[in-house]
Amino acid sequence: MTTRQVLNGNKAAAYAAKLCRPEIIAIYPITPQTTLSEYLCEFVANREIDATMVEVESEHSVLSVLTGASMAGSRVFTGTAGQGLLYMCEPYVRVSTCRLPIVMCIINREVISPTTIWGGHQDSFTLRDAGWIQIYVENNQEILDTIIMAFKIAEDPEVLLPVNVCYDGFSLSYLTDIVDVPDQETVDRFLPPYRPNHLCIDPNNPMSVDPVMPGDLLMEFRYKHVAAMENAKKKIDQVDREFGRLFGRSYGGLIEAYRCDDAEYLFVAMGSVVGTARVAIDRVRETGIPIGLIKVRSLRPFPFKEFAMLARGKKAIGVLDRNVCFGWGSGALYMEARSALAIEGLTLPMVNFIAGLGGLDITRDQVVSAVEKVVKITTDKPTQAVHWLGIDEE
Amino acid sequence: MKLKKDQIAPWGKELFIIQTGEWRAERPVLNIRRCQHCGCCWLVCPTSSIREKRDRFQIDLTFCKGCGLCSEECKFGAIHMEREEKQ
Repeated sequence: MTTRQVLNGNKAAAYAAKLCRPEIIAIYPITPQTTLSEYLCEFVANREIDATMVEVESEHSVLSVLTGASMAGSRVFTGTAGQGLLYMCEPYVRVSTCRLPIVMCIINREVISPTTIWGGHQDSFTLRDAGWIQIYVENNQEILDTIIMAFKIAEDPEVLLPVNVCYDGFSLSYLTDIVDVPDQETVDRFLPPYRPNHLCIDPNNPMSVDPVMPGDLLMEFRYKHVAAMENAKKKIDQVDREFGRLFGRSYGGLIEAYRCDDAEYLFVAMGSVVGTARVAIDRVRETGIPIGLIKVRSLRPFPFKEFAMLARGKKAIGVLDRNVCFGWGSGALYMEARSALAIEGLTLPMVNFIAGLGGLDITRDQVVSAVEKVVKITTDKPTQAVHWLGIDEE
Repeated sequence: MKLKKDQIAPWGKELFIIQTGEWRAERPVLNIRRCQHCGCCWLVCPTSSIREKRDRFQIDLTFCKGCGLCSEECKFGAIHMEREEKQ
């Protein structure tokens, strides 16, 4: 039976992990992930999870331990944030290129410098091209549900890729919300045990792991990796629908459209700020402006076809970024959106908003004023395509 | 697209492709009378070319690239390097 609880984001993640029955957990505490590692340690100590908790000395060791465990056929789980993620960069890329279906939460945090422990998407965005699937969620219920879905996506024989469930540090990790926690039997029905039949290391059947290889084979493995990323697109949608049928909640898979059908303008965001943006969109709609909201859930793979389909025929688009794309002078989601439109031959006026870096609040009024700027760009000539909310507002 | 390998990732059987043995300029030679069976060479060899047999260690030159680590690390001077002859 489903139980309704009041949980912060890290506790929702810990419950989700527990329900997925991981066999090995390795985790190293770092703000704003810290309580996630504490909850998991507690579950293991109280034998609420039948898992081995490996006490490691660093994030680099976290993913190195899980690499071996996953190769041996275990279902494994972990989570990290900010500098911790950057410290695990080397094994991070090896996990994806070895095609290991590891699920890891990234509790989004800004990166240093300056020293910061607060929220922002710069950590996971920095590693967006490292071969992992990255899904960004809006609230604590979605954290729990997406982790359960993530194992199903990752372990699919057509995918076999690691998945990051990315949720905002502080605004989700430490804030409480009502979360429906499903029962174990239903989750078991949705997510059967992981039984790899493609590759599995076994002392009785020795094999090599990562021997030195020439370029023709490396290219072949990259080709297969890219194809798996493409397969993941339909799998993310499929699993979302399947989850919806069993649990009564679904999130649109790769991308969610909110009040877009009759919209002439679009606003694009991801992560917890989508909740604020929904309220802002409703408010602007009340003034008679037909604007809709796109929530990008999957940054990797990026749903460029689905995005372009929603954008076709609109007058202008605004994109909100909680990160910067160094070298383009904009946010990274903005560049992704531009590329998606270009592939489909669309040339819409677009404006970018950078906000909420280093844990800075993004208020409803700020989003409303951003949305109003989107509406203006077809009438007023934009003097600047990128607005830094809170810095360059007049 | 013509693919050469069945594996989806670079781990599994039949993946020793690069003939690192061809890089070798010097070969390790083991003096079994000096060998104390400590296994240090076996531990340090980056290409797993030291094989442990029933009563002694043996060097398999197939993938040995002649780096000389085994010779350098042997406490008993049981392995020395000899220049490869031009074939």
